[in-house]
Amino acid sequence: MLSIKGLSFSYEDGERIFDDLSLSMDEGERILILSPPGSGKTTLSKILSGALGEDDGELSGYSFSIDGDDVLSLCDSRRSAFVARVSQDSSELFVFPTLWDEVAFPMAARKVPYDEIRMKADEIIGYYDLGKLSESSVMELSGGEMRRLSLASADALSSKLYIYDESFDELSKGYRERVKEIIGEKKYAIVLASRFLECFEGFFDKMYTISRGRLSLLSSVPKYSLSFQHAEIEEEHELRVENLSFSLSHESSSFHSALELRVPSFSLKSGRIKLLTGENGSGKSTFSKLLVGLYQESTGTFSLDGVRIGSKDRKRRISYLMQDPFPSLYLPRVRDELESVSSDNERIEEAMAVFSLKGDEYVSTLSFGKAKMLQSAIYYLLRRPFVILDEPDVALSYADVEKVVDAFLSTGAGILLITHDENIKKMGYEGYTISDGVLS
Amino acid sequence: MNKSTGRISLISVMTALTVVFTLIIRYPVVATNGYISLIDASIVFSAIAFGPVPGFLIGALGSALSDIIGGYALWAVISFVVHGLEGLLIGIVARNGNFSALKGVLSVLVSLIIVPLGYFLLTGLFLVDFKTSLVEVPGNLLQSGVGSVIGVVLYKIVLNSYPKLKNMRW
Amino acid sequence: MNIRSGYIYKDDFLHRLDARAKIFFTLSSLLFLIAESSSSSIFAFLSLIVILTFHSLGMMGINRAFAPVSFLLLFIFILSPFSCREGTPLLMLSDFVLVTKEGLSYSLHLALRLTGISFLFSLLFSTERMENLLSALTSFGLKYPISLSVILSFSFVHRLSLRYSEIKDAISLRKGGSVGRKGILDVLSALIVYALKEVSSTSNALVGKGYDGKGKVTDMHPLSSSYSVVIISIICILLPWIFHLL
Repeated sequence: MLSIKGLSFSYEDGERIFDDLSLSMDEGERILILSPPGSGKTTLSKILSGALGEDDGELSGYSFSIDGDDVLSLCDSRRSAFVARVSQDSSELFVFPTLWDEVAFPMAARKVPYDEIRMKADEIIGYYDLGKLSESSVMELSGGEMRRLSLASADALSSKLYIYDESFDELSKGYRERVKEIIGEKKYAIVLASRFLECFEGFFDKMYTISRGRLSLLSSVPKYSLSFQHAEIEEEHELRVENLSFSLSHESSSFHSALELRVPSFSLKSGRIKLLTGENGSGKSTFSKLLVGLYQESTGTFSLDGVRIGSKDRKRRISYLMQDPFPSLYLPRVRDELESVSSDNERIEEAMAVFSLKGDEYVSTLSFGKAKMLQSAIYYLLRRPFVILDEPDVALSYADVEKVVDAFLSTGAGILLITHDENIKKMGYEGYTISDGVLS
Repeated sequence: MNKSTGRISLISVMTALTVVFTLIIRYPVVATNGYISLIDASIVFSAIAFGPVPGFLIGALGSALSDIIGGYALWAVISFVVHGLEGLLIGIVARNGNFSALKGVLSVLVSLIIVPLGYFLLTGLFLVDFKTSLVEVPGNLLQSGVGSVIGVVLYKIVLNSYPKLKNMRW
Repeated sequence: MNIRSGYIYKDDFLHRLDARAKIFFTLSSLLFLIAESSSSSIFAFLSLIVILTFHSLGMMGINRAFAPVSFLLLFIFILSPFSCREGTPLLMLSDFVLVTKEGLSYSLHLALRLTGISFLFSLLFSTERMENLLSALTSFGLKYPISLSVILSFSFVHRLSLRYSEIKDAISLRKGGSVGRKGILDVLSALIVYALKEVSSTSNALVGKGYDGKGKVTDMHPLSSSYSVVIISIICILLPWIFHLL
């Protein structure tokens, strides 16, 4: 029996995330917490696993017990025997250079004898088909392989409660089924997700969502519908790509074949939205980098309004909002960032209102979602004619995605929206898909 | 945050950062080896930000690992001593209270003296002779001068952007 | 460049030799090279090392050992006219003695010593994994937390260099072209902030894996503990000094 009672938490800036949250689970139960990005799922998982504590905000005196043991009275390194968290960002929990060490370490830390570690680590690695990569460098793995590695090293903990934060992302159907099998063997399992995936059907005993700081039971999967407004187009521009070809070889790992990309024809017009979809690793970010001029194409022509345009000019005309907003941020406070791209105070105030930002917040302490909004605000102020949004729905709730897209549309930009999300795909916008190295 | 694992993490991450500053971030300049490395920027930053013991460890391990990974393995032991000492001394200089302009100048001076002198002496003693090791001094002077100034500047910038830095001292 | 550690994989005698024996050999040879006064002994020893290097690592191994000292070697010979001015003259410019026999042999001695040291260390780090070297040092008394810090730093070197490229690209795109001269400080400070955040998340990750930061864990790369290691180590310590007798 697992029981959590009276959990309240606010971040240092006063934002209240949980208010007297409670949860109880029977042994063998599997629950799903389905909630939009930014609603606190990861925060909850970090609090339960001990990664977030009293130093990071106001944490009320709550109770947390598993099978009669008071989890809160354990010293921090012993907690992992009770609660294991599989992070949404796989690389967050990776510390060792090689895969094998990553899986073996949790056992070594428990002082398990070497021969046993050798056997069990090989077994776990084999279960996730990572055997060939065992001596590889962790950074050379693909997204899906990293996901499997984070699951493998969590298994090495032999813990009681397992919390899986968006762990099904980037995994193929086959591996999703395997993960479900593994979850089934755990004593207590909580899966956190922002979207209800097909494979979830019939798998969970209970489904919750986070609302008003507490968990509330969901009887059915919520339906969403998004809409984007119409653009106000002042100037019409068109960006075209013809006969593009590109190849990139992965020098580090011999298990990845060279990425080849061919684009017979592509066009993006001001004020219009086009979608770009495709499997993980198919080349969506590669295409974006080619478009914006970061990569050099082998053959192909780029033209703006019929005139050829080189990479230098493309960099100035296209805003590429990468999935991770932090690399593009470097100034101390939100206001400093906005002021560096615009000297018009009115527009800065407007941007802060639209993107819900506070000027004096430190950039380095922003949550992922807020950083994404800041990134969007910066590029919104830059007012470039074309915008590439790389999977904004991963970090932002639908409401925020709408805000971002509408803001760019109001500047008349042509938007290339990269996404996996079914609800966005259903909106009926024209699009391109990359499969087998061809964009069509 | 667990104090012990926090310390292990600090040393590993900042040692790695030193290696990256040395081997990856290169600014081609004439000088001796054909480029200037920013190794001192990272060591000076760490020593000022975290204190003498981390300064020593990060300087020593960071420089030794850079040499080993970069293919200059024979310098590893000498670099360990020289940059370790650099980190230790700057950590002492910058300890206690606010980081004033005076401390900044002192830190740069420590680098300017310790690094070229240290390499000159140790290379002259163990690897070649003093006549020959003198050849490396101008290059090292330039490198440690530029590197340490950048390190001090970076400290100011990062402190401004990431106030929690103050809590990371040992 | 192999970001991992300068270690190059191959399965041969030298690679399989115990890490502790190699460390003993390296230290003993270092002492030999510094203390030995006879150039011919050093030359003989150096020949052995070069042959070993070539056998295990090929021409690439030779390059790796030569490259870091080539500049200094050049200067040793450029400066040789200035050593040992008294002695048998070899090269003269009108009445001026440029190079003496003693000067040249002095320079040769220095050059051989320097080259020997370079090959020695290059060989050590190319034929042994860092994890095993650290295991060896831990068995000599190095505290585990330091050993762990070194191992972990290898994973961060890779991660931080990737991040550096990402930041450089992202900032240059935002600025619409290149980063600019002052921009390098923007890139470096953003990289440092990222590194600092990684410190706390790594600390949490270690705790989350059940490690409390103090004391030992099971050795994940144990070295063999047979008597043969002792015998081989003794051989390794004595080997360089055999050349002294030549």
